[in-house]
Amino acid sequence: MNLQNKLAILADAAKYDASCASSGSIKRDSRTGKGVGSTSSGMGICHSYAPDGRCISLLKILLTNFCIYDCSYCVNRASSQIERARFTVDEVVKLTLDFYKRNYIEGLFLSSGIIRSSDYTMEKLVDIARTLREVHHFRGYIHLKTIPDASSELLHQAGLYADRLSINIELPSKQSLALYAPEKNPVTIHRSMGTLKEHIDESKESHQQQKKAKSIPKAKKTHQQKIVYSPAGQSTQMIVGADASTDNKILTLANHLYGKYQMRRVYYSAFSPIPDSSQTLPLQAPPLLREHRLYQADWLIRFYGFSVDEISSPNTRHSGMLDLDVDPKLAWALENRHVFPVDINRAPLEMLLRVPGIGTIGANRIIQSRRFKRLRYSDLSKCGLSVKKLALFVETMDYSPPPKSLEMENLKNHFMKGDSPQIALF
Amino acid sequence: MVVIEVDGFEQWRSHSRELLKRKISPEKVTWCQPRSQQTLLVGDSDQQLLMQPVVCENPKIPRQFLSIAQQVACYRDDTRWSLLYSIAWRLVFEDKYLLNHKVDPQVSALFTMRKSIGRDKHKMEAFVRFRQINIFDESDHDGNVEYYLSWFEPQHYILPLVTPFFVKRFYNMHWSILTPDTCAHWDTKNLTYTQGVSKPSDTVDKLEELWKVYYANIFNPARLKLKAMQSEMPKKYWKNLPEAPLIAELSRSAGKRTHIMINEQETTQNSKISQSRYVQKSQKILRNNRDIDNI
Ligand code: SF4
Repeated sequence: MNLQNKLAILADAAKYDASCASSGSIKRDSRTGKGVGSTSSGMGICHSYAPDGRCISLLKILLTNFCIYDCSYCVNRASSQIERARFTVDEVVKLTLDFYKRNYIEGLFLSSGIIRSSDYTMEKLVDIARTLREVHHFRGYIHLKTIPDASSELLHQAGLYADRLSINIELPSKQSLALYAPEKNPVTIHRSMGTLKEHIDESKESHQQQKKAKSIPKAKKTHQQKIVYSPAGQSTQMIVGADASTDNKILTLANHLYGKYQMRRVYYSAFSPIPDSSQTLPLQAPPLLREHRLYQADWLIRFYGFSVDEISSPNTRHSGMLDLDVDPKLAWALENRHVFPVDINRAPLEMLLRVPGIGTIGANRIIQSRRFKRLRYSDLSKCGLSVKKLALFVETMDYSPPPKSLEMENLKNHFMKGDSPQIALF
Repeated sequence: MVVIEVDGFEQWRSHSRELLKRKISPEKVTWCQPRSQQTLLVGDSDQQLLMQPVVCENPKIPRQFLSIAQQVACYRDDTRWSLLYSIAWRLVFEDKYLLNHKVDPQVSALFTMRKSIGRDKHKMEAFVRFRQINIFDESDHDGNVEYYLSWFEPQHYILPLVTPFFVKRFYNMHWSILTPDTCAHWDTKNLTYTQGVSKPSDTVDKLEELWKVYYANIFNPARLKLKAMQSEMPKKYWKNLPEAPLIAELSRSAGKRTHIMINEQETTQNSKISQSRYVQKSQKILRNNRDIDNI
């Protein structure tokens, strides 16, 4: 099979993984005179966008789409009758370097179906990362998907070459996993995440000690000490819409993973129809809007001080599901109208962050600007805020929302239609 | 009234210094692009300027502003110089914390311009595409050098702002980035700039075919979202992206492909029993067959 066909098959098989991030690594470049590439600690670069709106940052491929497992939701499962292919180590290495030198990509995101055994497969992945780093001095980004059940020694090696490691949690509950991915074991998945966290923490600690001990002459620092284990941490992915789990259940699990294993990201992937799919799963368009709401909720929980139950309480009329009609922050505000309007000139940061239409940047600008003067309504748009959304929820020196407007029953409809309630009310 | 010619940040900076020392207010200064015929006239004006008495020996401009000004100096709009000078003047003579005053019209304009520069920079780092060409270089011992060539049309004059990124990343490669305003060349040791050029004729790089294969296959037709794509990769960039010509066809066929996946599969499905036999068989083969290494 020629390289083009292999690439077509193995990119196609990799596209159901939502992650393509190349952010948050360490500073590194090729000014040492060898190899090619650089990474930064900041946000990654999206070198292109596919017509599905997703960022193309990394060369995201599988080493092979042969797989001995039979996860119902997966296009590569053993029973699927799709065409199979396998790259050689050298093919992946060369493709990565060739793409990189033309500025198509930030690096490689490599995953694989499981061939022969978990360890055998993991070994091959590590081989590719090692070749890129040690033979070609590749300084770009490498994300390795670790194979569940791979030995702890291999996990350790993987982190020495990769910027990020990930293990997919796949489904939100143990029951669903048993049903749809019978060969996968939630216990080992969690154990592997724990192992990665330990390695990452250890490496960070020794790095900090090194920084403290700067007085030690350079010659004493060994090569080993310089390596940072998986500097961009670990991430995971959950498939949404393949089983019956509620959003509350999904977010609770995500929150747990963020806390326990210090995940950098939990990705939500709307279950997408696949060629030759299994009969046990729903055949329908992927629930993209639900996926979008989950990302918004995830953001609110991590950066805006909301709790999981506040935005997706199992006891409301949505019974643990996010409202698809409006974003979760607006939904929360509509359920909690008694706390509004919020006084822009007095409210603490935590409260500003809860106002629909005010983001973290906007909230900080408000706080900075109000040190100089009391803010007027017209100042809000100068702070880069969308006045359309927040009109009902704030008051300023010269403005407060029209009386009773917050009591209107059909308030949500105004927002859904996308027109400003303000226009309708005045 | 003073007329000042300016064609870059350093020049703006040194002129502004002299103006501030003499406390010449922004309304009295006109900034313009240099035009060779007018050199004499402006020379006169320079002289006049220098003859005015110095009233403030050491005007203090916050460093934060200078680093912003350096970026905004690349904004493609001639009013940028007078805006920068006005803000500098106000920082020195009115309020050194002016920049925190985000709702001030000038400050807000400054930050809007910086944001636009930042976005343009980010997009250029992302969308520059190199094509490999082989050239003969007699100074090199084996003669043939892999050379990487790119043509790009940035919105603002940002090439000097993005070259450090490309130098760090592609330090050990020979490359050039050509733009209509100016061109940058890196030979693994030195960075040189030459005048802008018009679009060169296309060269062929075989790798582009593989890149297109990748682009077409990483796309999931069941998730078509053209608007989201275009807000991140606006059409104005498409003309220099090798993958962009695929977008139309991929989008057009997406609906049909998804329909087939959802609706026409049942007919090809095997029964549960034969399917599970098939699974067991293929798993067995994969577990036992070492030949798989050679596939
Ligand atoms: S192990 Fe991975 S590749 Fe194999 S069937 Fe399951 S999800 Fe797919």
